[in-house]
Amino acid sequence: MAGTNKVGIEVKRNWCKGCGICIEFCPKDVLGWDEEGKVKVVALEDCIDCKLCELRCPEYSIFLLEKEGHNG
Amino acid sequence: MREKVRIPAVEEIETKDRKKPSVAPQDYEPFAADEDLVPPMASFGDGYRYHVTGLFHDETGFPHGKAEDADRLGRRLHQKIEGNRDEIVEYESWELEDAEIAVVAYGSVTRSALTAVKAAREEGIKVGLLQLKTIWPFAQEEIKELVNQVDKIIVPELNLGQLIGEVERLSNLEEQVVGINRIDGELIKPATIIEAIKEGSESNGDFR
Amino acid sequence: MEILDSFRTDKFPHIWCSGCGHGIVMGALVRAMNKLDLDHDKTVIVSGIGCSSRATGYLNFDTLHTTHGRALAFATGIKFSEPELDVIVITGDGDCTAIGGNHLIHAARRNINITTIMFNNSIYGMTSGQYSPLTPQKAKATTAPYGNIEPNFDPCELVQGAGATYVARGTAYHIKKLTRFIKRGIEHNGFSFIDAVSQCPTNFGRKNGFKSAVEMMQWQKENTITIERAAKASEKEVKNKILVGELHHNNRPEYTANYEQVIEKAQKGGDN
Ligand code: SF4
Ligand code: SF4
Ligand code: SF4
Repeated sequence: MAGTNKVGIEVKRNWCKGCGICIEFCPKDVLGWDEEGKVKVVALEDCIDCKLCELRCPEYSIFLLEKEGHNG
Repeated sequence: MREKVRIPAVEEIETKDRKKPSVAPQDYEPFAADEDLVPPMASFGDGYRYHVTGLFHDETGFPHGKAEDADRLGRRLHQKIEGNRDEIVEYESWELEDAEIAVVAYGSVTRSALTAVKAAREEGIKVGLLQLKTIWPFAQEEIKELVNQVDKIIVPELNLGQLIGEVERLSNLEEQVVGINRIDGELIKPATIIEAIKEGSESNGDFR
Repeated sequence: MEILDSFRTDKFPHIWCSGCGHGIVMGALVRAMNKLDLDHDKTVIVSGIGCSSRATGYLNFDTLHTTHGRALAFATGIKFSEPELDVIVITGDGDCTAIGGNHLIHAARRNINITTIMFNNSIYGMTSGQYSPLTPQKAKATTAPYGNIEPNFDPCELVQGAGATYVARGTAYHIKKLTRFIKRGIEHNGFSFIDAVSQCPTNFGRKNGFKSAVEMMQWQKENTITIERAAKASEKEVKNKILVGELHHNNRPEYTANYEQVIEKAQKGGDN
């Protein structure tokens, strides 16, 4: 399945507690760790917009943005 | 033993509605009290969307784990009770006007006490009864009056002496307050109380 | 980011530990409510005591954080006095099945229209990991350092036996299913119970060999089986697996509706 670079991912870093749930369960390895142990987007182009990261984040700190042209 | 409970007609019952807030929901602080120490309270479903918790909280209703919040809330609640003492304290009295002996009772022992007082009155003994219906705030003023008026106060209790401590605290005469205590599962009989009224001696004997 | 409107975001980040499943379950609840377009002003959320029950502080509704085990008792009062309000109960496995066990049984028996979501992490997390009635036998807890000798039980079977009319189980891992079950539970007119298997990495995980919340969710994935799959699977495959799915669904008269009828009758006077 091809990724779409039309999606964006917003991370609310001040809420993220670095549990790694979004990172480990992302089917496409889109997410990784930053130097402070919080989440960072490492391969946006592979994202398939399945939203599992958003749905499983216990802190509501990662969101898939609407596709371009909708609300940016 | 069965008795009837009479439920008053709707018209006879006074309904007091809790004060409602007059501010807009975004300005509402559900636990900010008015001068009477009572905060206006919205009902759930009114659109105020507020939080109620059993944890110590500030005026917004949310807990912050701060000692000063706990202190402020505890003191307000305490003052609200103490400040409305006269409305909260409930009691009933019989034949106390000219009494020289008084029985102070709380709860089911009142039945026996009343029978005893009536019987003793028939024999010409000047005895009366004070029935407490609330235990806190304590009927301090009423008991103080009694202490100054009568020679002897009898406190019958189905335990080894709880209420009597509160009464003794307010008495300054030695041996003015006498207890009748029973914990064998049986009730204190009127005859036992009559005996205590007549004797005035300490009644910790066998009253069965 | 629509879900953030349902939270009191000024209170974030929440108190739950990193990786705690309770945030995931609370997210599922909010998404379920959003799908149903519930009126935020006419929805009341009630909780008991424990980590899970702190959820009410974060939800932007009328919320009531009650005493230990008593969420359903308070919720019954609210629903009874204002039946048109949607009433949702958040409780934990300790709160719900130990001290609150009788309230649970009788709410189910009455079939009162309340949706109960039990955040089930199999432990008393807030007080540092004492075993609850749902801690698996042999698991370790602060109060069972040599392993729990008490057998746990299935709360879904309990409420079904008591008369609940919608019973389902999901997990933090099975997030879409969990959201769907909560949504159906709210829609259902009667007592709904959703066992939401969650994880406590801090006070269950560490004592029981889980290195992270991720490992615990992996466990949820590997140790569950959907009822659809279980129906076709061999006995061996199903053995020791936790069933996920809509376990029970039926209809019978609802409590507040029955009570309305009594009021009507009494107000008309005449014979009872
Ligand atoms: S939407 Fe799916 S693919 Fe994209 S980052 Fe999230 S989990 Fe990974
Ligand atoms: S799941 Fe949420 S809290 Fe956990 S690492 Fe990802 S963004 Fe951070
Ligand atoms: S102690 Fe356990 S249940 Fe409580 S917040 Fe931490 S991880 Fe969650």
